[in-house]
Parts: sequence; C-alpha cells; structure tokens
Amino acid sequence: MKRRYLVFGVMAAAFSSKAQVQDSSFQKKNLAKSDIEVVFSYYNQNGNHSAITGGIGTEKLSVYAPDINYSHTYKSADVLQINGGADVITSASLDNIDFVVSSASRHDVRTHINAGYSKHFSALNTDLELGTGASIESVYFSIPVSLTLNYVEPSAMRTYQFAFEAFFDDLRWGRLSPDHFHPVKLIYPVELRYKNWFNIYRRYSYNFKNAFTQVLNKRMILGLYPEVAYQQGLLSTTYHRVFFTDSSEKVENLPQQRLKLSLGAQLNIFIGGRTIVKTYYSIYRDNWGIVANAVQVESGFKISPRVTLSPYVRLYEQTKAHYFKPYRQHAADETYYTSDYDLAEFTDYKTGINFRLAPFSFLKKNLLFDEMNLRYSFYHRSDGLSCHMLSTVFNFTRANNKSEKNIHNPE
Amino acid sequence: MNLNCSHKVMNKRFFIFSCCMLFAFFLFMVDGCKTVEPYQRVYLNDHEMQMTKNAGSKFEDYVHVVREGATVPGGTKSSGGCGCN
Repeated sequence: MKRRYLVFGVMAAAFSSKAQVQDSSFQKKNLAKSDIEVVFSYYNQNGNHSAITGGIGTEKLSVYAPDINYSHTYKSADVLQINGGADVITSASLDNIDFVVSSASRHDVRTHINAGYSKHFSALNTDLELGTGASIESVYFSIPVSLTLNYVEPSAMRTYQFAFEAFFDDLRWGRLSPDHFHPVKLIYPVELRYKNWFNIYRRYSYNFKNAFTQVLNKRMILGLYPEVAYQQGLLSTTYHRVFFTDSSEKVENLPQQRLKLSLGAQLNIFIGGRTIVKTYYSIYRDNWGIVANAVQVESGFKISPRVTLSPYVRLYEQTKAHYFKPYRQHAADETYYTSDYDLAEFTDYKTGINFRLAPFSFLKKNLLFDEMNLRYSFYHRSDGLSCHMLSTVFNFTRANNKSEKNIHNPE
Repeated sequence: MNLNCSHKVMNKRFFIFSCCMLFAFFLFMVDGCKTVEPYQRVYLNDHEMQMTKNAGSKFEDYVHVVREGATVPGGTKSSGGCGCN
C-alpha cells in the first residue's frame, strides 16, 4: 500500500515538475587578462675566424639581452602584443674595424620594439594579426612589417598559419652618433675608406612563413613549416675584410639578391604519464649554394606537476656558399667574395637543458606567477667557434577585474 | 668541373626528394587521424606538448640564424640585423 502511494507520488511530481529554465540574462564571456614575460639572456662566444679581420682573428663576443613581452587579451579575444628589449654587445673584433687597440671592451647596443594587434573572428575560427616595429643599432636601422592569418578547424584537429614578413633595413652609420643623430654613411675598415665600395645602403627581406599542425591521436601532434624568403639590396657586411692570393685587400662583396627555401617538421609525443619527446628536422637550400640539414631531439621529464626538466641535443650541417674561401685564398679577379665563416662548410652541435618551474601562485591579488624557465645551451662549430647561451624567463598573468562588468549590462 | 656540376645536381635532387618525402609522410600521417574530443585532450593540452617555443628557445633560434647560413623554419627573425661577429 505504501509502495503504491510512493509510486503515485513520484509520477505526480514528474508531471508537475519543470526543467531548469535558462536565465535569459546569462551570457558567456571571455575574461580579459594580461600576460607579462620578462626575459634575460646571456650569450658568450669565442673563435678564431673573425670576418672583420678577413677570416682570421678573435671572435670573442658577449651579449646581454634583457627583453620584456606584454600581451593583453580583450574580452572579444582580440590580442594586443608589445615587445621591447636591448642587446648589449661587447666584442673584441669590433675594435678592428678601425684598429682601436683594446681588449674585448668595444661595445654596441641594439634596441628594438615591436607591436602587434590580433583581431579574432569567432564565426570563422580565424585570427588576423598585423604587426610592426623598429630596431636600431650603430650600423643599421630596421623596420619590420608583418601580416599573419591563423585558422583553427572547428574540431581543433588541424591549424593553419600563413604569415608574410617584410624587413626594410638601412645600413648606414650615424643615427646613434652624438655628432650626427642621422644616417651619414656606410662604415668600411679604416684602411679601405679611400673609396665608396657600394652605391646602395638599403636591404629588403621578404618572408613567407607557414605552419600547419595536425593532431594525430590523443598523444601525438605533427607540425610542418614550409618557408620561402627573398632578400634584395646590400647583403654584404661593409666592414668585413677579404684578403686575396696577391696580398690585395677589399671589402666583402656578395650578390644583391638571395632566395631561400626551407622546410621543417616537428613531432611531439606524450609517452606514459610523465615524458614528452619532441623531434624536429629541417632542410634548407638557397641560391648562394648553401644546403643545410638540422635535427633536434628534446625530452621533457615531469619530475612533479610543477617541475619539468628538458634536456636536448641538436645536430646541424651545411655546405659552403659559392663565394666563400678562407683567408688569402680568393683570386683577385673574382666578382663575389667573402671570408665569413658563417657561410663556410661546417657541422655543429648544440646541447643543453631547460628547467621549468610552474608554481601558479598568486603574488598579489589578480597577479599570478605562472612559471619560470632556466635554459642553458653549449654550441660548438667544427671550425672552432663555441659559445654558451643562458636564458631566464619569468611569466606572469594579471586578470583585469575592472573589465568584468555586471552581466545585466553587457557591452 | 663535371664533378662540381654533378654534386650540385645531386644536392638539388636530394633537396627535392627530401621535401617530397616529408610532405608525403605528413599526408600519410594525417589521412587516418581519428577526431580527438575535448575531454580526451589531457595530454595534448599539456604545456610541454605545445608547438610554440619559449623565449629562451627563440633566443637560440636567433643565434642559429646569425651563426649559420640557413634560416630556421618556424623561427623568429629572418633579417633586420647585422649579425655582427
């Protein structure tokens, strides 16, 4: 009897109860936030094939590179990015442009700033980004312009990126000189300043950089990066010396156009519960005769949910450019010539480790300390150049409470 | 002279062959992919699995662009600098 009353009561309740009515004032909103990244990098190299002294001489150089990146994401998912930094360069070989005799104390500074705005089109799953900036050093001034299109398929299994970059460079000295503060002239080695070796001073670089990624399964993702780059203008470095078999000496002279083709592939695999393996391979070819291959393997080991150690190794090889010969091996009647060992035939390896700490702890209200990365690499080239690279990166996130308005008064 | 020409031809053919093989490998791996639902992406969404690079890695890419003759695919800058020794 009691069971009948219970069943009847439940049935009556089923007919009279109502489902949850959606609150018409509810609107899904993105949270506006700011990401701040503070970077400090240190680079130290040494070698004995400085192009400033014709392929011989010290290449001792240090670079201190502080950098800061600020990114603000609006509620509309649009993103504003600003980046700024300075590279302080101390080089012994820079002394030899005009034979100022000193130790590794001559220094130069490269200052740069870049800004970009990305517009999100939610109906198309597409982001369109426009960027520009400026970079200045004692012997050049550069203005970059970029346009990038990102598309993510609705299933999120595949992404496409198409990017066009252009760099407009002016290689004249004088902008940072206290006596001028405007571009004056190209800088040649002091003993070669009896003539103007070049009647142009501009360099133009155009890059088509593309990226395609494909999720293969729950643990694997593949990326493909085809790129085409074209450079035109003054591609020589005007303070590089070249010595010839007849003991004569000239300023480096390279062709005024260069076409580069490259293709990279990356495969990331999550193995087990704590290990990620990232493999990367790339091939490269240009019309100066350089053919190059690179392979890199990086393994991430999650020591704990907050700590990851990632050792890596990279191997690289390249053939020499048509126009390269070592010190005093160029014939005097050659049209194009360089003794810059960056364009020589060599192999190199790089090995290092990245330490990542991700505490995700609040420093202040709305300011979150996301993560810290400490990265060290040792690089060695078969011609004797070796260098050490050290980078520290700190990431913070700041949620903007003031942009969170009352849900009954949407924008 | 003939040896130099054959070396260049071989390099060019190897380059084209490598590009085709990479692209074919990509298509092969892509063709049979099963959709991964959002609730199955715990490994794919891990920070270490992202295809982007951290700032330290980008700085090293810049060093490669300057110290090597090749451009780094997927890297950062591709000009705008003297690459001083």
